[in-house]
Order: sequence, then C-alpha cells, then structure tokens
Amino acid sequence: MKKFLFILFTLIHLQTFSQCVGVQTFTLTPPPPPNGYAPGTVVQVCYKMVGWPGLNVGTNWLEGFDINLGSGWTSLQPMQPPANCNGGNGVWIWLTINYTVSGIVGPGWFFDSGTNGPLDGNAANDWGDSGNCTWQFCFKVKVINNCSNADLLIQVTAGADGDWGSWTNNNCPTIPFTIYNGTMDLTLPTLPDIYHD
Amino acid sequence: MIKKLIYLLLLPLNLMAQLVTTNPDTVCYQSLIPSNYEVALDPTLTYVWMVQPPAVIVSGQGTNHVLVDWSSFPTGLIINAISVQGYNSAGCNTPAKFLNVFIYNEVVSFTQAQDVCEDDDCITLVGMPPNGVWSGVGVQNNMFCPTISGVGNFNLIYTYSNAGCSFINTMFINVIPIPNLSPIQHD
Repeated sequence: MKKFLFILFTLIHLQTFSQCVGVQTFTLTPPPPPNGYAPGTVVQVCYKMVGWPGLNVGTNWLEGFDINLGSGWTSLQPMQPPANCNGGNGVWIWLTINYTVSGIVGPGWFFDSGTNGPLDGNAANDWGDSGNCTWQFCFKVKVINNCSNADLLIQVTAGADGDWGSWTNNNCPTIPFTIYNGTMDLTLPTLPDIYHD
Repeated sequence: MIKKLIYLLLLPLNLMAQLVTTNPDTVCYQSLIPSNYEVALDPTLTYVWMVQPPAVIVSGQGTNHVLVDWSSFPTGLIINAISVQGYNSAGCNTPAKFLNVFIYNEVVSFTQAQDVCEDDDCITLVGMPPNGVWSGVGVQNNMFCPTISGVGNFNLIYTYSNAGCSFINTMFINVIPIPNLSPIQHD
C-alpha cells in the first residue's frame, strides 16, 4: 500500500529534497536570560511540530526526533514521549543511540512501528509514524557545573523513515531546528563592599 | 500619597541600616584584638579572602567574614590591604573587592612633673596630644593631688583616644614626705 502511494505521489509531485517537517515551535523554562544560562541551571525544553508534509514527499513518514546538544549541557532527561499519530501498534521509544542507514542519530524519540519490520526496540528497521498530526515532547537538561564558556546549543531534527527507518526514499532532508544557541553565563554579581564591624 | 509620605520618612532609616566602612579602614597600631571584616552573605558562594603580609587571617577563611590580625604591620596606609572574592559551585568567581587599611598610631608624651611634697597643692598634668585622660592614684580631673595620693612613687597614665584607638604613656611622680624637725631642745 505504501509503495503504491509512493509511486502515485512521485508521479504527481516529482519533488526532491522538499521540506518535510511541519511547523515547529518550542518553549524553554526558565526562559533564556540575556547573558545565557548559568552553570547548574536545569532547563525544561518543550518541542512541538504541527503537521508532517513529508507524507507528500516520497511518502515519507515521520521516523523520529534527534536531539543535538552542545557540550555545555549534561543530564539529559526525557519526559513524556510524543503521541502515536497513526502508527498502529507502534510506539515511540527513547534511544540514546540509534544506528540508521544514514548514520548514527540520537539521543531522541524514535518510532518503532513494527510495520515493514519487527517491533523490537529498534526504530531503524521499520517504517515511521504515519499521519499528519501534532507531535510534542519535553525533556530536561542541565547546564554543566563548570566555569567554562561551553556551547549551549539545542537542536531537534525531525527525520523521515526514508532516512532513519527502512523506507527507501530519502528525499526528506534532515534539517536541524535550532531551539537555543547560547553560551554559558559565567559572570557573577559584584560583591557588596567589605565592612569592618 | 500617605504611602509615599511614609516611604520618604523611613528612607533615612533604611540608608542608615546599610553597613558602610570608610575606605581606608582604620586599625589601631599593634592592636592585639583581631579586626572582623564581612561582606553580606550570598549562600551560593564560597569566599576567598586575602590580606597583605605580615597580616594574618586568624579565622573565617571560606566564609563571608574573617578575623584579621594586623598587629605586625607598621604604621601607615596599606593599599588593597584586604580583598575578597566569591566562588560559586562551578568555580566561577566574582570580581575582587578591596579595602585599604590605615594602621593608626599616635605618639603620646607628657610634661614631666617635678617631685612634690605631700602637702603641696594639686598640680595640673599635661599630656600630648591634648584632650587625653590622666588616671592613677591621686588623680582627679587631670590633676595630681599629693594630699590624696600620700607619700610614695606613683605611675600616672595618660590615655589619648581617637578613631576607636587608645594610646598610653606612663609618668612616674614622687611624693616626698614633709620633713619633721625634732623638738627644740635647750641644752
């Protein structure tokens, strides 16, 4: 069925490397301070993607969300997974490393659909989550407790099953969505004056 | 309106509540009492204090207040005599805060009094700098009264106090007994 749809959409659109992701938004809690996050700060990141136009790009389905963090982050802690849109018995699983045909991705949430592959905890050997829904998830991450000017990049990349699953069309590009691109705030407030009592 | 009025009335009190030390801070020369220095506490910080040698931090290193012994320092102004920095758990540090210290000394002297007889009138004691205080046996209102002290040798102490410091010097005075003639005899 999917291959039939693939041929059909290929004939209609003839698109290559089209935009496959939906509308992406995010929240950061606490919001980024003007000078960046201080060491030790725990930040909750919530990501939302509305829609998946990749359905119309080589019939790619959504395979997962790769999270890319700068070296200034540590203690990544996943929270609730995205909801299964139209993936049958499939489940969203958290993988710290995901070996795909396009290379290693992760950590992040990936869809183990069990369609055209086993439902075995390996998201890379089957197809993704079909449909055109809203996917959202949150995670917590902590700024390293170190006085170094480390990179605090946060990116989420929504990937198609043609790249990270067992689907064969790789016309959906994997474009990182940058949530934050700051550095650590290492400044401390000036001490009050010394007094002699 | 009333709220603003109350605020304005209380404003001077709030300003007075702030702890301020004049820079340079004055420390008494050769004082054996350590000086207590402090910055307002930020519980997220560990404090690292430094003093210029030969001053010594007696206690409190790592906290927001330290006791410093300046007794080995000679008289004069010490630039950046004491400093403090705060470090957070990540090892980041605040800019240093500095305080200059002036080691204050005052040379105290006096005009040596002559020996007096036990029945002499009170004599005025003179010390320098002026406005100090005399104390000791026979001293009243910065005068020495041999009729009060009686006969003997006495240590009279002149104490000059200024800027929280006291400086002393001691004068010795001798009270001589009145000679007694033996009765006139007709031989």
